[in-house]
Amino acid sequence: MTRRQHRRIFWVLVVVLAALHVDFFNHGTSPPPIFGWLPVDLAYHMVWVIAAAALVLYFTRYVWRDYDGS
Amino acid sequence: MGPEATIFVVVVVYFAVVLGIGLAAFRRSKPTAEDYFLGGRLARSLVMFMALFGTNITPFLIMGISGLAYHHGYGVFGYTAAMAALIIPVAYYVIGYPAWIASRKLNAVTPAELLARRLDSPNLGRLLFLVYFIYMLPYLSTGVAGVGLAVDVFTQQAISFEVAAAGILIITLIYTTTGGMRATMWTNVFQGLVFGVFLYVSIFVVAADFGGISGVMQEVARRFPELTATKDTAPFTTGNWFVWGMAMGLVVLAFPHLLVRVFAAKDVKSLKNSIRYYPVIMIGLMLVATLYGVWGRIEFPDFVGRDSDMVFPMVIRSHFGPMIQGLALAGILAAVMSTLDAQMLTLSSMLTRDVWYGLSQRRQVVLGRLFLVILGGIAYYIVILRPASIFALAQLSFSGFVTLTPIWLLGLHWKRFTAPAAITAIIAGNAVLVAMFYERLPNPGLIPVAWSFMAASVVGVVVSLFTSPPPDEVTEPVMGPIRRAMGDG
Repeated sequence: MTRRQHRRIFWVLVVVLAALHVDFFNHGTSPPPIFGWLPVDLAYHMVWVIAAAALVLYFTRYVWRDYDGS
Repeated sequence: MGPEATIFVVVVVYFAVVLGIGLAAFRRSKPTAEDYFLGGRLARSLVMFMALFGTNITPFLIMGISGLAYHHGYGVFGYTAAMAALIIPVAYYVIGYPAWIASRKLNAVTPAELLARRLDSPNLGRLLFLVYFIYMLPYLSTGVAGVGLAVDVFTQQAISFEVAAAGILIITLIYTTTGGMRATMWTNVFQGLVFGVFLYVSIFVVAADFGGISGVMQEVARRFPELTATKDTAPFTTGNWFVWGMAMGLVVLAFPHLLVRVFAAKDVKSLKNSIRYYPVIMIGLMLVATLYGVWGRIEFPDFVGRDSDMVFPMVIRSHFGPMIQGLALAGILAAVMSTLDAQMLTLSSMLTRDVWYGLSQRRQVVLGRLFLVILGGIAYYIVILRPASIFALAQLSFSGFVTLTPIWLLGLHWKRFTAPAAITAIIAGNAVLVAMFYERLPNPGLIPVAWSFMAASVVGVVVSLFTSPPPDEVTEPVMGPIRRAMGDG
């Protein structure tokens, strides 16, 4: 896969993740906590952060080109 | 030895270590502006990581977020923290990386200098200094106020808020004026470690005292169910949620003291390595701060308004002995100093490079040091007034910085962008922001920073189309390498 293709994938995933950050489907609701103690909204955003961290590892490896001084 | 004396000794030992590190850095420094303000552009991965991390960790994070979570619950983590895990690294890629390239090509030491040279306009540099100065003061004061509050709680008023605020300013001034950027980066490694390790470990100890993490979570749900439910009311309405999340990510590189850290990177590898891990570790700390705020409600349920800023030190005091309390206080001092030093040094460097320039290298450093002393005096005056909560002060400051983001995006990616457009965009964005904060403009929804960001963007593009850009020989040496590095050329 070329760097250009990686870049497209990256930006699509950024938009998807940014949209998923707004968890309007959780807002105003009080679902039972996960395992009986972990609030759903908190768990959701912890998982979101892990997904974001994985995307950052991906883009620094495949999208971010090193400057060669030219 | 009494508990207050123990706390005092721990803090004094801590200060001695910080000053020792600053002194060691001073011995390694050279009498040039580049060395004083950028540490010779030699920061490698670990130092970069800790410098960025330490500079980002502030009383806003520890006491501001926990104070907000005290009132609004676990939702504060999603509201203030989560989005930054993605947006900060993206901002480093689209702003930090091209700015790092441009700073080398233009031999720029400060953010204002970089844009002024890129757009061939010294007046733009002066305006940027003014805007940075105005928005930095409330942010700077949140740090010093945080120390005042923490000392007040830990010493049970044995050391007053005013004395503590003055003390932190004086210590920071001493090592910043002597060691410059190298000292601030070296001390950040130490201070970031102290603070980060302490926070991550301490939350587990507090949880254990409450009967474990599940136990304390269940107790909160039983006594304060409103803190566990996800809300759709202010400040968590859908639009505000998204905008504030974006702003929390974008603001990091809108801070001049953070952008200057990026300039100091030795190479791209250092920049990339630091950006891979520090946002996630920082956001982990924001989670810890949120938990402190929510859990603290169990023990201290009666705080009203900005008094909730005290919940973090109050919880520490009730769960730990004087030795650990001293370490906690040192951690807060570490957080403050590692940000304060960068803020002060950056403003002082902008004064000597962008406003009062043409001086010899030696005079630049002398004037920079003199300015730091004056800045410290002004900051102290604001701190003792303490006009609002830490979160509210930081929110105002952050909004102002985010309004500058369109200037950076346009300036680093659009060759057609012009100096008149940058100047009018800064003025328009800030005019909208101030008018909305003072309710002189109707707000059709969202928080003011969304509208000021849009105003700056639109004005920047439109005015550029009606004015002449700098000649190719000015723009191409910078924009060409940026284009190639970003894969656009």
